Amino acid sequence: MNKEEMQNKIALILCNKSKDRSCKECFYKGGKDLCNGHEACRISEKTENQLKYVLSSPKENLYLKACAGSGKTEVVGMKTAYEIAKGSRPKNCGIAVLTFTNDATDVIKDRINQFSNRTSHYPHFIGTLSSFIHQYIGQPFGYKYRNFSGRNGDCSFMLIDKNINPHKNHWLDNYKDFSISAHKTYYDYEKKDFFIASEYGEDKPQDEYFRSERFKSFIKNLNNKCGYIKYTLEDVRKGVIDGKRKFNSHGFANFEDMNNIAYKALINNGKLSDVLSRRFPFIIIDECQDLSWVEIQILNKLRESGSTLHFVGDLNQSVYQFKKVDPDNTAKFVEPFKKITLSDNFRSCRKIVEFSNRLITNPEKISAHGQDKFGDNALVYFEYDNAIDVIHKYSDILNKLKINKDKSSIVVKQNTMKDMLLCIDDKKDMNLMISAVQLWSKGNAYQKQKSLEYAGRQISKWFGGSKNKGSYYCPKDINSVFEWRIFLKNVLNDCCEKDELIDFNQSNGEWHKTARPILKSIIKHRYDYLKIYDELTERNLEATLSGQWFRAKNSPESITSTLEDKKGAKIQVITIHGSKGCTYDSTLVVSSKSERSDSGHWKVHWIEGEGEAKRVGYIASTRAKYLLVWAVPTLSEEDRKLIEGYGFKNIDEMSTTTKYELLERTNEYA
Amino acid sequence: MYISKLNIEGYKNCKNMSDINFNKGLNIIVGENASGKTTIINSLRLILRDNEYSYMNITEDDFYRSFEAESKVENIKIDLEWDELSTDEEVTFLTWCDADFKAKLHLEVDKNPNLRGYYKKNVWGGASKASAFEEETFDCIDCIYLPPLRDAEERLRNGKKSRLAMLLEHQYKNDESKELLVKEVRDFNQSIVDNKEDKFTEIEKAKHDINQKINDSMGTVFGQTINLQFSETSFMSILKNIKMVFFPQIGETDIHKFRDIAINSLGYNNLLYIATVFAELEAIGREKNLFTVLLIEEPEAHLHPQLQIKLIKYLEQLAGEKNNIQIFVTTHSPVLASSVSIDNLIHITNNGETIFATQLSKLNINDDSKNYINRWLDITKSTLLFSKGVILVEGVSEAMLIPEFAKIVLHMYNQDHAGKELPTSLEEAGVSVVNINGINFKHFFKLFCNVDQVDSIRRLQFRCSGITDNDPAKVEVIEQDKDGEDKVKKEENYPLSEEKADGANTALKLKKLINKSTFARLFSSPLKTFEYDLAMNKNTKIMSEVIRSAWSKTGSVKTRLEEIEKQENRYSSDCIRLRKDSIFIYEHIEATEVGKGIFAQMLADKIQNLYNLEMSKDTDKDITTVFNVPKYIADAIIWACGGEITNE
Repeated sequence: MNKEEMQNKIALILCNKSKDRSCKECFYKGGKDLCNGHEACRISEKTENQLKYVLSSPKENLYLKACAGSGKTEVVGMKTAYEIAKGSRPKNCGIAVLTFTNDATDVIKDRINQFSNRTSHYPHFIGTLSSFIHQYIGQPFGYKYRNFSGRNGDCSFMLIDKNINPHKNHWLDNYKDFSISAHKTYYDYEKKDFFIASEYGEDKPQDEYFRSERFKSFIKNLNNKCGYIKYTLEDVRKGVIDGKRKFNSHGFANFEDMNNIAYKALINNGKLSDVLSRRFPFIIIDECQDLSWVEIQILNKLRESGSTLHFVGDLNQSVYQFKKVDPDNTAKFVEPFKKITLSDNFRSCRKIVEFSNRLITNPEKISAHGQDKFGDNALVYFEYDNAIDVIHKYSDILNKLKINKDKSSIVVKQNTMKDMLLCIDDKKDMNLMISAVQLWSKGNAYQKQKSLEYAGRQISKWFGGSKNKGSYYCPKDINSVFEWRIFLKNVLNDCCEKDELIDFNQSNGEWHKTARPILKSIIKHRYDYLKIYDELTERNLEATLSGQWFRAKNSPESITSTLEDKKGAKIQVITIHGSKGCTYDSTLVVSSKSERSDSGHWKVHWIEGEGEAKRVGYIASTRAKYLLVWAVPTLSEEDRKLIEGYGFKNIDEMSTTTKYELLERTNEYA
Repeated sequence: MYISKLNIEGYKNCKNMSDINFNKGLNIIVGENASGKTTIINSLRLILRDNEYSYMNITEDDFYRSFEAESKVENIKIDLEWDELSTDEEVTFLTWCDADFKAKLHLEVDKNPNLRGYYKKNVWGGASKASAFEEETFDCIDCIYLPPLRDAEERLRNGKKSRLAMLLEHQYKNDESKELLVKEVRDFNQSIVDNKEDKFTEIEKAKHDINQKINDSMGTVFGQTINLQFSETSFMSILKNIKMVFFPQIGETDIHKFRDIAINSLGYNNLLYIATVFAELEAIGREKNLFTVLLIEEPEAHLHPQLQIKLIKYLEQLAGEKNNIQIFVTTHSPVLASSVSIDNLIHITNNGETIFATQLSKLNINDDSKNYINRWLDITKSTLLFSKGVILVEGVSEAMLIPEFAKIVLHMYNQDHAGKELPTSLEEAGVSVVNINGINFKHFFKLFCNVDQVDSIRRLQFRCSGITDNDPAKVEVIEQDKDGEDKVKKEENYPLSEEKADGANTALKLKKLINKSTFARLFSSPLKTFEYDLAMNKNTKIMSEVIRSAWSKTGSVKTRLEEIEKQENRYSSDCIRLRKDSIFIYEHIEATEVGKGIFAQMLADKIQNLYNLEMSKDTDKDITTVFNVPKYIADAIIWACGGEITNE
């Protein structure tokens, strides 16, 4: 079938195009709504391989290898819409399109809606892989295989984060043995061993944990307290297994447990995978490189029962090592599958494509089709000393080059870096109210949310307390989370109207001294509106706000600014995981200052690193259309040569003429 | 698949979690008033989103409220369970399935309304709330509700919500036939508008006049244009305008003879309505993967008994033929209850907080008994299904007399049980006396308890007492005949006391197990039979009087009866004399001159008069003078009315 024939075949089904018109004629004669606002017919603009994929058989397993910027989402959207429009499935059976983030889900849903013009997707499922595994397998069927008999008639597992604080959740002690709490452990089906999750560094298998200094000192303490007993690794193993059994049978599970429970349900209940694969005979997995071992096994079970799998993704974009994702597993799994490759990058300009391809030493040729605005100047870097300067500097560049800030983005690896750039300092012993008022008075939306969180954390203490960050620490007696949030907002608004409270040129102690009576009257005034949602009708606010609790430390230290008043605050800062699938006109990728930082270092991790460390740099650098900026710490002469060897130009050293040329080109373009 | 179980908690008149199990196919829900039949139907409508009901919001009245002063309102919880899903249904109802592939649907309503007074409904499927739930699955369930005392005419009339339009819509499966209909109507309308050959000049004229007046009064800027035609020419509006007319016999085709249903009888309009619904069932039944629930409340409304039977037989057949339909019928009609197999019956009682449902098909009744009960449960006897208590008796005499005895027994009981009084009569207590015409107690008690061994199956949840005769075997006496030889002769046994009265009645063997059960008790006359025991209980005077008044001939019988009456029921320790009088009475009741039935009826009248007389006295009422009710009968009455009986 030649390209035109393929276009025709798709258009006949997707656009209801009449047989005697070509796609081109259809477009110029104002055919379908879905082309409205587009410069070309959306079907004929596709490459041959893209069309081939749309027409591929939903009965044959397939791997669509799609490089960055290859229009993968558009193609998956079109494929799904095409299959839906083609129909011919039994009633109430549908296609499952599984993604990794809610954002990706929304994008695909949006594409499908453009192509197929429907509001409800039933009987098709378009959502994240986790929600699919949890909601269709683990939650409805898992209880039986973990001997959980439900609470109040509901057999749902409660998802417990591995990182919740056990000191604030004493109920977790019921599931603890050898100081290992069951919410931190999980079984790794691939390694066939239990692992203990760690907040810092990698999760450890049991034997390693057993040998660790931490565990040895725990045993030493235990022996001092209760007399000497020799504990073997087997004892620990048993403790971990029993703890996990109890944890699950009481209806608690962490994220890994949920996947394991689903896998177990599929293994033990043959009917389940049969029914599921009849319900979803065709499953498309987007970003397949992010599948963990057990997730692949779950999909494989469905494949064995008759579902067809289409894996779509780019193994070079796998960044879920913390979830124990190894893209090699995916590579091995798709080996027998039919393969279609999309090697045209429609996003980035030639320079960026060449650079990113070189970064991951990809032997395959990727052709760049993105707009080229800046030619050789598409790659620039600058050195920074102070995190506060980064946004400022980037903002200047964008201003000079007349690049829309709304369409640009700063990409960081982790939220800690994001908070650093936005000057949010999440220290444990911080002055919550001062920080809250600071962030509220000058912050952007993200910072204001933080402000609400801090204010909530502090004021909640005076109202009986709460541990739920998601509800802004809404105290248990207040029965409307919504009203609590409004209350916090009002208190903060009132605070910001008082000059005394937004004067941060004083010591912490002085601020609190002036704030105490003012804050008290604000809270009392605003509480009048909150009162009807308070189940504690006899609340003695006067006593609470005069008592011990309300007293603050008389710290003589002067207030440190949590926030600089900056013009760059408008540019969004996103994490790499959040940036997947996104396109920006320009991106700034921020390297950590330290080579050992988890936030990713330009040289040690991105250029000279390997595995995931490198892939992180790759993803971050493939988001931009025509300008990629790296912010790196102050460099040695040698490092400068290295980075420039990859084609980056130092923005500070670019001659004024070059800058001028750059501007010229921009204006020409505009 | 079929709905196998319904749980209700906190809804309407049901406070505690109540389990109601259903049969495949047809379910006839019977029970006294306020037992919870409508609660069951409404729960099904609510959770299955019956077209008309689901749009109604939950109101305060839907929550269970006890009559206690400080009652706490609890959340409403309704759970539904389906069993025996086909492989296709497993796929369709996947998100409602638990790990054993039973489909489950749950509805919870929080007791606290939001600020606007709206109660939030929470719906989830399967075993866990966190699992996927596909709203669209509801499209695979068709819930049709037929209310009692419906205004059938209103619902059959053309219009948006008309059942007829729904049926017609289901009939049209493809676009071509829809277009054909639209075209025909459009062409006809067009011909009116075109007014070719001046066929419709009058209409044309009227239209013209109206349009002219619009123009005159509103002007060309604000004016509109009207057209006169038969309905708008869109598919749905054509359907809405199709009207049902009737002719009161089968087979008429002449369209001139049909009349508007407004002039039809209420009963027949109901039948037309039900027939429309059945036709709709037929139309949607052809669709795959569709489960139909038909809820009918009190179909006996407006229908005479023969029609009721015809209808219920049709429903039985419908439910039997189709796998994907389940029918729920509530009824107060003994006619309906007695015309289907007891396997279809679900009996409902309520203790004020919990609904107890008993599936008669699950009582472990063997086929013999089942066949017997099916035959036996005729219209009068099936009243037991609508009672709060029942007294089973052997014959017509007991059936007539026990209601009268009950007044005396209950009066005396209430004097001794201040604070725990029972109603003053059987009617008031809702207790029926059912004549089983013999001693086949074993079949009927199976509805209340296991008569062979103790088990844990829940049976009918109200009290039942049985009254039977002791019937001691005849005694052998040796008599000399004319020739002086000894001859063994069998003679009626008239025992003086219980010790000498070994009963020969086979039903007595059941007593031990029956009396261990929660709800059933069997009581037997301690001596011989009902009438003999009445007499032996020192009631000879009144019984004599009755026989004497029925006795037409004068002579020795009357004289003897007068003698008995003179005894004034006083025998002190002269048992032999009492027995002699009792035997005389017993033998003469059975004489052709009187007969058991007449005797019982006359005695009942007499007791009634005496009772009324005694009750009308202002002081010194003494009910005991009216009649001495034997203890076993008193016990049976008190048991059935829900009182406590003592062993002495």
